[in-house]
Amino acid sequence: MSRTSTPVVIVMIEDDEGHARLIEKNIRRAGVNNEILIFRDGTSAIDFVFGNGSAGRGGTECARLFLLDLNLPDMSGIDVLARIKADESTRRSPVIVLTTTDDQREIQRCYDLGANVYITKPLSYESFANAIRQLGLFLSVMQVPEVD
Amino acid sequence: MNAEWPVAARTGAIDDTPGGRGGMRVFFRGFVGYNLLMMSLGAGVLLVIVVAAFLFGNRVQEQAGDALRASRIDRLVLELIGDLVDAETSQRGFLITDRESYLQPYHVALVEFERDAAELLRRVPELDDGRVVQIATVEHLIGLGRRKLELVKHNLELARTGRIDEARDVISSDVGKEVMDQIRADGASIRDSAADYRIAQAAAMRASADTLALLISLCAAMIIVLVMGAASVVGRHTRELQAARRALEAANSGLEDRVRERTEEIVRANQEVQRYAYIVSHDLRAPLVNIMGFTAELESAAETLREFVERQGAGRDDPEHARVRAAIDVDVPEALGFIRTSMTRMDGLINEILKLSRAGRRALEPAPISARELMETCIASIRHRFDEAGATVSIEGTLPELVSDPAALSQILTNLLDNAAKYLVVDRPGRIVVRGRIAGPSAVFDIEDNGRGIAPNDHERIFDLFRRAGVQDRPGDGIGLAHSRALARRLGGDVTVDSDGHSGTVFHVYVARDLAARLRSGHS
Repeated sequence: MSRTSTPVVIVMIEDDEGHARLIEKNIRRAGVNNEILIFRDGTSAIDFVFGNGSAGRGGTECARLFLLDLNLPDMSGIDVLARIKADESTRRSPVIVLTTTDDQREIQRCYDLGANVYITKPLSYESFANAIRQLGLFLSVMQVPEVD
Repeated sequence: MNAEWPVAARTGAIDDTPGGRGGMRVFFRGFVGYNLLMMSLGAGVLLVIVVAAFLFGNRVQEQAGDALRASRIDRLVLELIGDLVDAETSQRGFLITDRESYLQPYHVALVEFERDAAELLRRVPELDDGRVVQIATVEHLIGLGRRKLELVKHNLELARTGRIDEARDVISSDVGKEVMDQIRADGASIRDSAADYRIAQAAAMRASADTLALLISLCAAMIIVLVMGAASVVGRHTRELQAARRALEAANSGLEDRVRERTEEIVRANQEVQRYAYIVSHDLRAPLVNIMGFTAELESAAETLREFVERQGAGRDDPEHARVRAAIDVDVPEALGFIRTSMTRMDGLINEILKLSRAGRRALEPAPISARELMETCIASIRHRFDEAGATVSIEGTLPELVSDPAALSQILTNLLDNAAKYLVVDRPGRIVVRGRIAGPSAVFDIEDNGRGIAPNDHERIFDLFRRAGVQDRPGDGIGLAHSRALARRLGGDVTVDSDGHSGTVFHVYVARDLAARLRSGHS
C-alpha cells in the first residue's frame, strides 16, 4: 500500500478466526506489510473506530482501510458499513466487503450504502487464496485519502 | 386419474366437509315423506267422498223409485174405484133415461177396470217385494169390484128385459152401496199403506241426504286441515332449507378462509425451509473455507518439510529416517488427498443446496412459451451428452403452447433429458422420445427412454435430496430430480415417474398451462 505521510492501517472485521488468519497470510504473501487490526465482532470494531468504549478513539490519526465480513455474531456487517459511511471521520475510508454471501440484493445494498468493493469469498481454497493475493496486490497500489 | 391429474387430485383432497351433505339428504327424505303422507291422506279423503256420494246417490235413487211406485199404486187404486163409480153412474143414467147412449161410460169403465186391475196386480209386488201392500188385499179389492160390476150388469139386464122396477128395488136394497163402501174401505187401507211407505221413504231420503252432507262437510274440513298442515310443513321446510343454505354458505366461506390460512401457512413454511437451506449452506461454507485453506497450508508446510528431510537425508540409510520419509511422502499426502476429495464433495453438495434454495427464492416470470422451441433448445444444450451415448432424441407429435417460467421449465426438461442420456444401457441403442399434451389445467411433457429403468420401490426415493437409485456407477449427487420436482411444483405441477425397472423409464412433467393466471389467483 503506497505510503503517503502516515501508514495505512487495515481494519479487518471478521468473526471467523481461521478466515482472518488465511486472509492475513495471503495479504502478506502479496507483499503488503501494513498493520492489520483484527476484530471478531461489530461492537468491538465500532468501539475501537468511534471511541465509544474503553479503547477510545484509537487510530483516528491514521488512514484506514476496512475489510468487512457481513455475517457477524452481534450485528449485521451492513450495519457496520452504514455506520462507517455515515460518520464524517470514516466515510472516505475504503471499505472492502469480503463475505460468503453472493445474494444480489445484499450486494446491491452494500454498494448503495457506499461499499467500495464487494468480494465473495470463493469456496475452493485455491480461488480463495488467489483472490486474497490479488486483493493484496490491489491494496499495495491503491491510494487511501489522508485523514483531515 | 391420480396419475393424470396430480394437481387436481391434491386440491380435491381439501374438499372435505364432514357430515354436511349427509345431513342434507336425511333432511330432504323427511320432507318428501311428510308431503307423501299428506298427499295420500288427501287422496284417501277424496276417495271416501266419491265412494260415499256414489253409494248415497244410489240409495236415494232407490228410495225415490220406491216412493214413486207407492204413489203409482195410490193412483191405480183411485182409478180403479173411479171406474166402478163411472160404471154405477152410467147404469143409473140408463135406468133413468132408458137411452143406450148413457151406457157408453159403463162400457169404457169395464175395460178400464180390467186394465187398472191387471196393472195394480203387476205393480203391487214390485213395491218392496210386496211387503208394503199385501197382494191378497188387492185381490180382495178387485174381487169386490167384480162383484159390484156383476151387480150393475145384473141390474142392466133386468132393465133391458123390462123388469125395471126389479132393478130399482135392487138399487134401493143398498146391496150395491154396501159393496161400494167395502171397496172404498179396502182402497183407503191400501192407499194408507202406500202413503205411509212413501212418507217413510221420503224421510229416509232426507236422512241419506243429511248423512251425505255431513260426510262431505267432514271431508271438506279434513281437506282444509290437510292443506293447512301441508302448507305449514312446506313453510317449515322452506325455512329449514333457507337456514341450511345460510349455514352452508357460512361453512363455505369458512372453508375458503381455512384454505387461505393453510395456503399462507404452507407458503410461510416453504419460505422458512428456503431461508433455512440458504443460511445452512452459507454457514457451512465458512468452516469449509478454513478446512480447505489450512489443508493447503498443511500441504505447503509438508512440502517444506519434505524438501528439508530430503536434503538432510541425502545418502543416509537409517530406518528412522526411512520411516519419516514414508510418513512425509505417503501418509501425509494420502490423508490430505482424502480431506481434499471429501471437501470437494461437500462443497458440491452445499452448492447444490444453495442452488435449490436459490431456485425456490427466485421470482417466477411467466411468459408465453412455444414448447417445441424450448424443448429443441434444451436438447441442443446437451447434444454432446446424447452424442457420447450414441442415443437418438426425437419429439413426437405437437407440443402444447403454454404460459410458464421458461428458465425453470427448461431447467426441469434439461435435467430429465440429461438423466435419460445418463442411464442408457450398452446392449441396446439409446432412444429418447419426448411427447406433450394438455390435461385439464396442466400441460404435460413425457420424456421416455429405453434405459435401465428404475425399480418400483425407488420411484419416490429418487425425488429425495441426495438419494439415487440402482447401481451407483454414474456420476451425480442425487440433486437433479429433487430440484426438478421442486421447480415443477412451483410451476403448479409435479414430476412423476413410470418404470418397470428394466426396459426404460418415462418421466411425466406436469406444469400449470397458465402460470400467470395461477400466480394471480394467489398461489405462490
